[in-house]
Amino acid sequence: MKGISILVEEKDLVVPGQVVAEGNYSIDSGIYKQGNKYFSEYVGTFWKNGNKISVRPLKGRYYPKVGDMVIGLVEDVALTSFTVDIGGPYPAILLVSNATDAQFDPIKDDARKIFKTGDAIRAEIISFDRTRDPQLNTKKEGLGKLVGGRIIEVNPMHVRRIIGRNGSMISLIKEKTETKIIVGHNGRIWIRGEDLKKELLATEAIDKIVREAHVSGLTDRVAEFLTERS
Amino acid sequence: MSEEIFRLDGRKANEMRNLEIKVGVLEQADGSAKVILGKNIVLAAVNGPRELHPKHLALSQKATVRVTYKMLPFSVENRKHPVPSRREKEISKVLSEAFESVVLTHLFPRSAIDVQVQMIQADGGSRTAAAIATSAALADAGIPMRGLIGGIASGIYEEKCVLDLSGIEDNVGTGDCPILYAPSLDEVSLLQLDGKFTPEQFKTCFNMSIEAIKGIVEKQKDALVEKYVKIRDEILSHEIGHEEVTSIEEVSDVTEAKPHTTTQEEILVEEIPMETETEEEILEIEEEPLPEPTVSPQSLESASAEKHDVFEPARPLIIKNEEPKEESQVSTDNLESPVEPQSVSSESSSPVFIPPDISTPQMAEEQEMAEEQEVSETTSSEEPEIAVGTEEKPIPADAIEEEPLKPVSEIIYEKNKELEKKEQPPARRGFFSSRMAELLKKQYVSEQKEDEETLEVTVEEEDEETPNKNKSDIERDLEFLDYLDD
Repeated sequence: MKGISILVEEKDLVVPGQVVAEGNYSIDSGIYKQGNKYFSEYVGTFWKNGNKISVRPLKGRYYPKVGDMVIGLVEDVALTSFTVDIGGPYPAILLVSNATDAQFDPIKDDARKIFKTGDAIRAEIISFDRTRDPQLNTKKEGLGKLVGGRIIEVNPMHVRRIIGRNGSMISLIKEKTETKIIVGHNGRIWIRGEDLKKELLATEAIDKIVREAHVSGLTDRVAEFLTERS
Repeated sequence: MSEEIFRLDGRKANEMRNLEIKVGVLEQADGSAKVILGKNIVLAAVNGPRELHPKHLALSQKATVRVTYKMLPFSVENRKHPVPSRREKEISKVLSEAFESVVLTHLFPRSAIDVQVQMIQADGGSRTAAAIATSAALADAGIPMRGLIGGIASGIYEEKCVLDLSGIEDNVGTGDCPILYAPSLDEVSLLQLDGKFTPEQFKTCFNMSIEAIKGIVEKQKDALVEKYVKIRDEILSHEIGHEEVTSIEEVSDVTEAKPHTTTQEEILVEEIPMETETEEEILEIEEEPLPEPTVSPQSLESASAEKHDVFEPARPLIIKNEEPKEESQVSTDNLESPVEPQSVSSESSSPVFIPPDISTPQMAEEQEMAEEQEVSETTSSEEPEIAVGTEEKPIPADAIEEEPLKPVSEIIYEKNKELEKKEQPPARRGFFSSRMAELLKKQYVSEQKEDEETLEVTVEEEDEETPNKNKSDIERDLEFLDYLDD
């Protein structure tokens, strides 16, 4: 351990500009270094793993990352591409060649036969950098148009808590509420149940996770909540 | 600071008005804050980082911070016309630049961070109240920042340095100096100055403001975590209470065997060999090291130790039995944030100063006053000019004769009465008008000989024209003392 001192306890709430550590650590995320001190960038919880320190924000907008599975809304259809709103600072582009394997001739074929404006699609981000807008792909298994159900939006910073470790939390909700749930990294969650009641229960459980995400023992509380209600 | 009461609301010289900060008051915005500073009521809403429209404003290397300061028509005494005034545009611009210095804009190239600041009610020092709200709202929106900014105005009132000028003090006083400052970085983000200050006065005001801002930022911090602490305390107190009831007989042995601290240590040891994924799981088990809210420390101890026992065996089960779902890759992938902001660009660390092309805030104050004061023939900003320009008439003839309206302190009231009896200059609106006139007249007499002796710090350039300032200062001090003896 090279570090000299950690000034806050793990999982403590920190605010921007708060000194979290002094000495020599490696920064994971949410922290910047000035001189000898490490400052938090966010209102969030402090985490330490070995020599790695990080601050996880409690709120924030989605920022695209290559490999993310997102739920997007088709905003515009062009001759050979779609503009998709994925909730981040940049609009995403989905080329027809990335949307379908079939031969597509823009003279004969209509891109609206693939996706229409307003469609909700599940897609993967295949490329994104600082200079170019994110590009999507829907050709993989399980990607494409979402039919039926409802889409709710949560803060993207809570997505990892909603999924849980190895999907433990989300499978718990699926099991107890008997619904189909797809969680997008951008904070959009698609829920489809047999009836409205089950969908609403799943929504309530997710709301509970979002509200209590920063407190430990979440899985048990959610399990308790779902058992009580179903 | 003297303990004498000389301010209208009975505050001490270095005392600020009541400050309340509340965060997350709006649902639609990404982040929001409501600030009440005395009579000022401010609402700030943050949206972003989001797509920037119009596109041509986009910067390829960083996000654009756009603060829009607006006053509602009923925010001031007389109706404020809803068309953006020059003053509103100025404040929007200086706030945008001040906050660009602390927001880590390089993380969101080509995007916009929009802040809407609405003055619901204004009463002096509204731009600093707006800055406090903006800072809290930005942090609440999860925008990465190098530090929180606080702001407060100080100035010269009754020839004395005072903190946090109220509306009337601002109008009657001879100097106003709003400062935005980030205590954790020790950086000044905004420094505006209007009126005349001696170097000593400026130093006093500056130090007073910095001290006050440290307190303001502490309040911001409390407001930012308040919501989360509340939820956590609520849940934990519920859980602890629950477990106490269920297993109250068995607790005593467990408590001795495993005091509160061991739970943490054990888990930390286990954590190291595991992958990063385990963090999630540990979070479920570990007891929060908390300021015990409702329960005595002993019971918390026992409950936590108890809890550890209960949950320990459950963990491996969850780890092994769970089949990796379709979304499972998500949890690992999402661990790192997209950019590691290790280095902060040096340019952003430099404090923001007001570029020379902005017109002076004196004008802004004039306009504000013109709107706020019904009979404003004798606004404070005019006073220096009068003193310099016309010897015989330090006070305009058309000023309205009026008795002092609201005597807050009897002493001052008496003083004023006496003064009015001795010499009878036409009284002006406002409580201290006649006294101010007296002072200005005397000041002018001393200034007549050495006209350029006072230090003049303007917003454009902070030039210091101080050839013979010491002499004039002493003279003026003596005069002031004489005056007080009277």
